[in-house]
Amino acid sequence: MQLSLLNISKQFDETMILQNLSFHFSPGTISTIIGDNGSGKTTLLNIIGGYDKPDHGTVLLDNCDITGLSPVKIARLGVGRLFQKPMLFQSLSALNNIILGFREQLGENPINNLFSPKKVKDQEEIFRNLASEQLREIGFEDDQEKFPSMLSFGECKLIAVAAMLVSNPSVLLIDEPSAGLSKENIDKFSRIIQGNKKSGKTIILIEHNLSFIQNISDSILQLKNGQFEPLRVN
Amino acid sequence: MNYLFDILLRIALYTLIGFGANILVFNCGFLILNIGATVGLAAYITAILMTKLSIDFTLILMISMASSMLISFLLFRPILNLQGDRFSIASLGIQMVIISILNNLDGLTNGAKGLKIKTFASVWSWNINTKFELLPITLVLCLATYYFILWIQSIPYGRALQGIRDEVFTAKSLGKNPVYFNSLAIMISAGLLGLGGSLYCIYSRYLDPTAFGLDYSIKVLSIIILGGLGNVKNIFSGAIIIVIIPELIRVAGFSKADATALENVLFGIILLVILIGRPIKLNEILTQKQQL
Repeated sequence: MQLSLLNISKQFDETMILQNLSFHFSPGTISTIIGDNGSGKTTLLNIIGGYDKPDHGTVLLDNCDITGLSPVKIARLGVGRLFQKPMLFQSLSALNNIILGFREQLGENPINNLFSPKKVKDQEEIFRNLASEQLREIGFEDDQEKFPSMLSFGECKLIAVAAMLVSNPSVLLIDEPSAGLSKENIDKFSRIIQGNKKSGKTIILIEHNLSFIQNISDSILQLKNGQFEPLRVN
Repeated sequence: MNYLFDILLRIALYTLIGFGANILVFNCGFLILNIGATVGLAAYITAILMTKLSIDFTLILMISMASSMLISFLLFRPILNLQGDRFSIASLGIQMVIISILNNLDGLTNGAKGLKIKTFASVWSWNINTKFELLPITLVLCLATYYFILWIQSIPYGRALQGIRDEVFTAKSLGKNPVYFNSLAIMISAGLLGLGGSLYCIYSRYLDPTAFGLDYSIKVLSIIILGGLGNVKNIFSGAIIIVIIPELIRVAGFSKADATALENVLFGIILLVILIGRPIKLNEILTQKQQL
């Protein structure tokens, strides 16, 4: 899906964070946004994801205006969001954290559990197997029933990305993927992101780790004075 | 013997009401303060229906529960987006509004003078005339509620509810709509509190709005905390403590005024000991809610 920003502006108090910012993010590309702290990178992702509203401007997802829609609606339209800190569901196991990522779960309506328990059970079984497979792919063979408090920061981040990906979003908004990760986990993350690029997803990253950026980015955009200054555009 | 049945009935009623409130307090992480009003409202609806219509109690029970669910949904819907302490204060507002309505709707509720229920509940042509007859029904419903709560926690709906409580931002980013899940939880909880209210009505046979004030809500919250937040089975122990302590004080021969004061002091101390000794999930849940 193509994601377009048209003349986005956002002001906090007296400070103009984003100023008539426009850009088109194409499918199958990785665009990385860099910039100083407070330059508006996370605000921009929040605006795209529906967590914040722009003062002016439009966000288009395949020419459909999604500006100001709720985060839930935007997520359901196929925009996945990964926060800087992996905010996992602490009372759920790694496996259940991922299962929660699936959409249209019959069992989330108690009525279906009462009247179609077989259908719910079958669907739950499918989700469980898919989630388990997803966990194995990121290297969790035996730790599937562990709770987030028993896992390292990097492992939590990998689980958060797996939970985001099970619903197969078309646009990925990823905030500082390499922050706090070991070299091994950065490589895993890099492979996951590149794999998703190949499957045609539109990927937007915020990142500070230059070697990580240079290896995987198609475009590097510096956010300065509320505008993008392209450093590399393919 | 009647005294023993009375104590058992009160324990069962408090347990059932504790189960109902626990869905919102533990599974959703809402510190609700309108438990008394929801129970009271259902009790009054039951009393009015019993007085005005001579229909089977099971039907009255269903109407009271459904009304309780609908009214709670309508009252909570506008405040569902509030977080932490704001949500609690809004629920306190709901508590005050309902109690005020019960106090002032003289024509229906007899206001502050209280409503005496003269008719007896009848279940499939069997009249419930004594506490002994009410006890098995209450125990069966209490047990059914217990299994219902466990079932809710075990199905994917319960898992999503827990996820939303843990991390609402992440849940939203995964397309889970907190308003849908929490609205449903509020209705389920109100239905169970309504069930408790209806049973309380035929237990007490006299309703007075002050009986469902803020202290009632605090008492039910105390039951949940005393039982160890999240542990459904232990709500029963919490209810035993809440019912037995005042009885022990009464047996010890204190005057009514002294007994009430001593009862409050003891509950306060027990709650403090439990919260300090076991800094359990309530703290975490409230802190998380406030951060959002």
